[in-house]
Amino acid sequence: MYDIAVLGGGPAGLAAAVSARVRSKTVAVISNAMTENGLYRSKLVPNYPGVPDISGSALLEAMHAQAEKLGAGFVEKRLLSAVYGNGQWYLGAEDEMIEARALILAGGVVRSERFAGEEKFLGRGVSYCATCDGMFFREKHVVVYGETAAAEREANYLREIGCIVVYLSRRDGKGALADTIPFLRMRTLEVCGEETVQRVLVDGETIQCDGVFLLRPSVAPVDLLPGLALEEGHIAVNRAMETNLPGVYAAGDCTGKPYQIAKAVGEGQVAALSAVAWLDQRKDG
Amino acid sequence: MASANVKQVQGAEFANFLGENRLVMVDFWANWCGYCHALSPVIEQLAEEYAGKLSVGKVDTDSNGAIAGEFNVMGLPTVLLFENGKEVDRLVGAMPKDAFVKMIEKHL
Repeated sequence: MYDIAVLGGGPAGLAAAVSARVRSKTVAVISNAMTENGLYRSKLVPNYPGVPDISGSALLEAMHAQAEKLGAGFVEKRLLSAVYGNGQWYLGAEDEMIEARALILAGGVVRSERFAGEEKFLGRGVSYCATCDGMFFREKHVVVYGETAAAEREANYLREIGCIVVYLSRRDGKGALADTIPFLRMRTLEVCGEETVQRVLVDGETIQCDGVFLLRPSVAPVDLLPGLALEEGHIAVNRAMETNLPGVYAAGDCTGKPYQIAKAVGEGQVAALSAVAWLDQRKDG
Repeated sequence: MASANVKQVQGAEFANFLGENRLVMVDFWANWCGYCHALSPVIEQLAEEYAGKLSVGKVDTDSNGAIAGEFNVMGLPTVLLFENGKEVDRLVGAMPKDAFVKMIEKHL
């Protein structure tokens, strides 16, 4: 059980992790690989004070190393569910369950998206996690939708355990995908069937399949936490970075513009200090 | 992963188990499934709170693939609610306790 789970490994999340560790709280940072962060691809960060000629990757690596050195735990997995019970959060990160008392949402800007048929067939052929549900689809036809190297690896895993895989992406290039897996660029996807999934429509073309793995890089906070208040499409927070849910804080791009590193870092620190104060108060009470 | 109010159901027992009560709830799980372990205490609480009105069982999908297949369980955890032996509702994935309460209350 961690004191604080930080959802997102960008500047806001890493700043929050650093501040929480300085205050001796246990911290888990749940995020995609650092290389998937938009900042990582930035050649030059011209406006972060103190480091005038630094690249995005160097800055992110330095922040990550600092948080790690201070003792933050890192879980490089996609967070798929957040359930509150018995005074704590149960966070489903693919096949791992992480328990934490407080949450800091720092996952950047993530649009809420659902494909047609997705909800109807969830658990009846639609899955969000290859390592969790792959075994139900051995020797069967599945399509995998993904945008990241992690998703490509999950598709390879499905192939290895005996699924017949087609990979769909909006991104160019096969990346780490095995040569034996057909790759299709797509724009729209619809899941169809009767009791269970029978086919998908990819840009209107039919592909017969028994399973559909939707491996989005991130789940929108509002889909993870029903009841989370938004303001003009961003997570609503006050100056203490509190959301409307007790023990849940937010920082960085997910709270609104400007989408800048300095703003994200500042908010990350405030969110962590607020979470620390909330945890300490609960302990006393 | 069973308690006084939650019965571990195996293979051929399943059909009889569905006849144990008007309302029967079955949690499909596997030992390697992290969500399933997190859900377990919730299922046990529900079994205790609705004792008498609702029979609650668990099916290990690793050793009972045929039962999972019969009910189109293709993801874990999946919780099915049966009324008079027929599936009337299901919840897929890790869900808060409220979601289960709502589902059960609808059929009480």
